[in-house]
Amino acid sequence: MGRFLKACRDLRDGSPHRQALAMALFGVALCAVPLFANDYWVRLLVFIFVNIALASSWNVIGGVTGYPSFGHSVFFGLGAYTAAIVMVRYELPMAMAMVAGGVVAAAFSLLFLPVFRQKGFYFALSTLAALLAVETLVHKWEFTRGFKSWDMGWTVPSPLSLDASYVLFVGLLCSTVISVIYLLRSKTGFALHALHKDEVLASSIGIPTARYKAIAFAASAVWPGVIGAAFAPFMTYISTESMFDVTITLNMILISIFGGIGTVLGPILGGIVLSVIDQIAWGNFLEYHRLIYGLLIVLIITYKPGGIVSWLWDLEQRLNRTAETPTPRGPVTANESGRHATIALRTEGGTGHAR
Amino acid sequence: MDDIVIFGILRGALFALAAFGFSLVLGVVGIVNFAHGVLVVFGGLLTHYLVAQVGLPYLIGLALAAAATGLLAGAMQRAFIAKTFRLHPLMVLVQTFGIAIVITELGIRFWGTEERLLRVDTGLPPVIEIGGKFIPTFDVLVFLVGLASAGALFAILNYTQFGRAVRACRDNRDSAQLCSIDIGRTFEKTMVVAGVWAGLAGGLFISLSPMAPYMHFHWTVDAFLVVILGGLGSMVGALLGGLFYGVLNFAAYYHLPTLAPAVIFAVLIALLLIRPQGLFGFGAAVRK
Repeated sequence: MGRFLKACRDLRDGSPHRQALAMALFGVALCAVPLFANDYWVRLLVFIFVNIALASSWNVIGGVTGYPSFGHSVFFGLGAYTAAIVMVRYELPMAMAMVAGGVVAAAFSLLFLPVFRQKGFYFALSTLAALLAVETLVHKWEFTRGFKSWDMGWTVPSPLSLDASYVLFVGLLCSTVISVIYLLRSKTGFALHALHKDEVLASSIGIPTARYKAIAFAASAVWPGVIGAAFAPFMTYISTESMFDVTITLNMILISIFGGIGTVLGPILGGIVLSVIDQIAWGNFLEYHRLIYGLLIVLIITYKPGGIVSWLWDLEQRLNRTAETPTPRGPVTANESGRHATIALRTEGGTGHAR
Repeated sequence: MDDIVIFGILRGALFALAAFGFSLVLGVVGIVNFAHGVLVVFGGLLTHYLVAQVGLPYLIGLALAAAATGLLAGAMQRAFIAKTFRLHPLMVLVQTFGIAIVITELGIRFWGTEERLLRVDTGLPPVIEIGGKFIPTFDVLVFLVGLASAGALFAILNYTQFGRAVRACRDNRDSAQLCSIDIGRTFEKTMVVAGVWAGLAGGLFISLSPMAPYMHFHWTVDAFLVVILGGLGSMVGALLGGLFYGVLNFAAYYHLPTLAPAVIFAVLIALLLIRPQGLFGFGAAVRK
């Protein structure tokens, strides 16, 4: 256990190429699942992958940059609607729909630039308001509402079989995570960390914060657009209620925070653990499902604001400290390192372990 | 048009009452309390329970429910928010949202999901006529009670030792601590006060319009909108913001019932961009 966690930590601190390779290998392993799982589990895994991929892309703007967007499902919904229009109205292939979804989402994200004058709560509220406004517009406008004037959504036939869709979503998940890995280790990633910690200081040493915020927002909008475009045929029927739902955004935020906000691993772990808990809760205590969910969120933020990831790294340190001889720095207890993480979180808001 | 303004202002007093606590907590503790709407709904449903089930007189039920809501808010602060208010704003926002879900789910276990309304018999004529307009007497009474409690809150904040401590914490937390103000205790008391006024708003509102546990988020958003309209940091701003929001709300739902949320949110974005200090905000913009 201790050795495994040590390896994980080395991977975290190691080169991005190795991380990307690990993610790709993980993806290849996931592709084998449909061989011995039934359709229910394959469909469920697709939903989990979509959630994780969305959370990973939200994490770029909300976790790393520190601008919590509460309207991120707008890009997912726009992607899905773009795909529906491209595939049903213009009868173009699905690959083109996915490209179009990404392009529309990225282009639309640039409309948010004025909102970046705000921070924190105000930014969150403005993005939420934008989501609700766009949802109403898409819902009312006949061009986007459906093929016939009385439609309230689109029926998008899927050109892919279930297994092929599964592989497609594994691929999308891997590309999302790998692109986040490389983004965070690029010059842009360092600039984002800097402006999260102190925006005034960052701009005073010559980092063009406005440009980097725009890049981060566009980067975190592209993948939801592409994934939404792939998701529309998978769902076969889409409506504004299901695609622009605020709970999609909330899921991105909850998964990121639960796993560890501002980290690459956080959304992945958070998505897996929350989905497992979700399944157990649905199966066994349906009536208390939301209660359990809410309680978990409250407890993790109150007692472990760094999420599961910070808990894991603490565990790793504790295991490997007791196994080895005391380090030259003296007996640093796990408790102290935990507090260290908390202090880092207090001032930086979640990048305590972001590497 | 006149009716919209009159009813908007009458209802707006309750929005203002609900927003006071939200504004106070945002200004003093520095957090967005997404569980604020839960406090409003809790106060309303507890009032309903005490009056309709236990059989207390309305005013006593209202006072008890408001006090209980204050205690709930204080407990929330002590058990959860006190540990996290120094973190990134997003964390507390999500945490209080989780608290809201938990309390709502517990409330559903206890009260069920149906909407409840409390009819209060005052013995007065049902409507009064002012300048050719008929206005329900009870709405006016609620409006007056709301104004009176707003006055009481102003008095507490302006003339008591506690109010001075609260304002000191709001203006500069570090300096307040240097002046030997225990910020932990002050924050707790602030939350209690916020809870009491939220409970009061809920208890008054349930006598006018039905309430159910699922409405909590609606109230949180309303309180947030009022605070943004009125501007942070001033209670007068919150009062004016509440009245203005009442009128805006009524007008939007009256003229454009299907597009009302979009209209309200469009006004909100425009305001945030053009006047972040609020329509009636007198100080600098707070952009946390």
